[in-house]
Amino acid sequence: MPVLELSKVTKRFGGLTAVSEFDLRLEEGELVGLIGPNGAGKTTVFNLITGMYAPTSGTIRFLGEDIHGKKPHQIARRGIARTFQNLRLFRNLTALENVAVARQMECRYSFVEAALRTGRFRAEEKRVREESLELLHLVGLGGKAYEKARNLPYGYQRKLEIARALALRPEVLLLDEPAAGMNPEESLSLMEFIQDIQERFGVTIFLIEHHMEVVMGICSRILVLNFGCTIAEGTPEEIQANPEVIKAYLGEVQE
Amino acid sequence: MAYYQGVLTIICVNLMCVMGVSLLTGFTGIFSFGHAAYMAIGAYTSAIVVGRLGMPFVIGLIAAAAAAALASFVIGYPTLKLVGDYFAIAALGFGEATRLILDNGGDITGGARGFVGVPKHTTLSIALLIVALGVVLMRNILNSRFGRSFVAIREDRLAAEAMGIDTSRFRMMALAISAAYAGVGGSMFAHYLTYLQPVMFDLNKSTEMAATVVFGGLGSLTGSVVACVLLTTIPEVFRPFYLWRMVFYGLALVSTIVLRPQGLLGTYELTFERLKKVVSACPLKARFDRRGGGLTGGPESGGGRSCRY
Repeated sequence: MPVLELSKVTKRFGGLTAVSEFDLRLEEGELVGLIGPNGAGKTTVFNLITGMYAPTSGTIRFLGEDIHGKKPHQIARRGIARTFQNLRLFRNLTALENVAVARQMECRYSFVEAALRTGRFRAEEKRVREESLELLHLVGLGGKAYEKARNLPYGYQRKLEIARALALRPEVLLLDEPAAGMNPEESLSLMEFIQDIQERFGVTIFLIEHHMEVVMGICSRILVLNFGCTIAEGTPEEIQANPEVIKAYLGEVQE
Repeated sequence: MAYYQGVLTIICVNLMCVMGVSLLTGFTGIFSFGHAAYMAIGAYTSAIVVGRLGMPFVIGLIAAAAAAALASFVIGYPTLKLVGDYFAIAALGFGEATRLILDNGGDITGGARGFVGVPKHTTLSIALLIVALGVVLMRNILNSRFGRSFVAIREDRLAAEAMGIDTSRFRMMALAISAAYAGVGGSMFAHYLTYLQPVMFDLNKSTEMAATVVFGGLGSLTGSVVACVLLTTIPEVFRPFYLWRMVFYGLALVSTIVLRPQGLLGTYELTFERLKKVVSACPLKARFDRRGGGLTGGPESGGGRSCRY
């Protein structure tokens, strides 16, 4: 059974078809890339999967269950976590708190217990704190736990956003242009980081990337989107050789 | 003596209301210009429950909190879908509507002439007790997953939603708690003055609460408390210059906004851990246990913490 399955998902905004009959099957433990030129509808696909948009038609199944009509927070709790193209950290919270906000989803203490600081409250808070710290250490941000997110260097902010998404302990991790704004060298090291995370956490990753080169090295499979339609799908080698893809990226050759 | 006690009691009343607004505006990022309405609902509910029905003061306080929270559900459910300035305007409308309803409440509220004969229950010690309890409860809420969720919503609602937080529910919860605090403040107010008039809960009162929170620093409970004490005291200090006192009040507000846009304390919080650090910094107690604070504590954390303690 695929972890995530989209079939014939279409999203229209008025007269504009942002995504058209999009199909996707993510098997457990895969690392799949979604590439395409600006405005191809890549982020829209993410917004559809995470429930931020409702599809105009088509079905989205997560672990065999139709998640149509579920709210973003419900989908997040079910196990689909995401990052954003333009960083959306809780800027005035520390790195630790950023992660804790996601990690606390499994907290079991009630409002009254919180107000009275009962034993269970203390134990649960301690657990959240320890697990969050551990996660920060795992992604190499251990030394930055008490820094405010907005004061972190850009590359660390990118990593923190990934750590925050991982704190939800997701089945599927959606990364929206994780290497945006990075130079080729930084992008490469980030891709290694992502690969490392995938191995360590055993999470299925679906990532958007604008630059083709960076995904080529780590993705087992790549989908290419242009004007809302999937124009190619295959291994990095197949994609690189695909004339449709070259056309979409470089324009048509004048005969 | 009675005068000073009176000023202190009013500070306590304002503190309850301002703490409520602080949670809503400072921590959850929702502006409201209608919080006097929740204070009024609490005041009149308590006045009726205790004054007319002869219930004890404690029941009056609980009823005031419950009535205000209930009213916040009625108004919050349809309007909290609005974001940013729109909710603030809806809240303003609600505030004015509540005042006019009280004005035309006939025998139940006493109308514009006011509600007389509320039993006097709010002594300074009772007021201080309630406020102390209010501060501790608020601090505990802010330092829990609930507080972190509120702040996450303030920081980025979409990201909070993507992290599994039911933002609609938590926004409603913040409004309800904040209304309950204002309701308790109203009840204390009613049983201090023994007399209520709808005009006491007008737009000025709402604005004053919102201004106090901004003045103290959005996202700092300590800041809200300090600001409330200052802003309640300043007009009293300048009472001899009767006509000028609101000028000083305005001056204090404007100079803060110009000189310290983040508010008096920014997001700084005074905590037991920090007090301990000050104590342990003294030479005599140099070996005092120097434990780091909670989630945001720890050796590296500088000033300006956001939601912990």
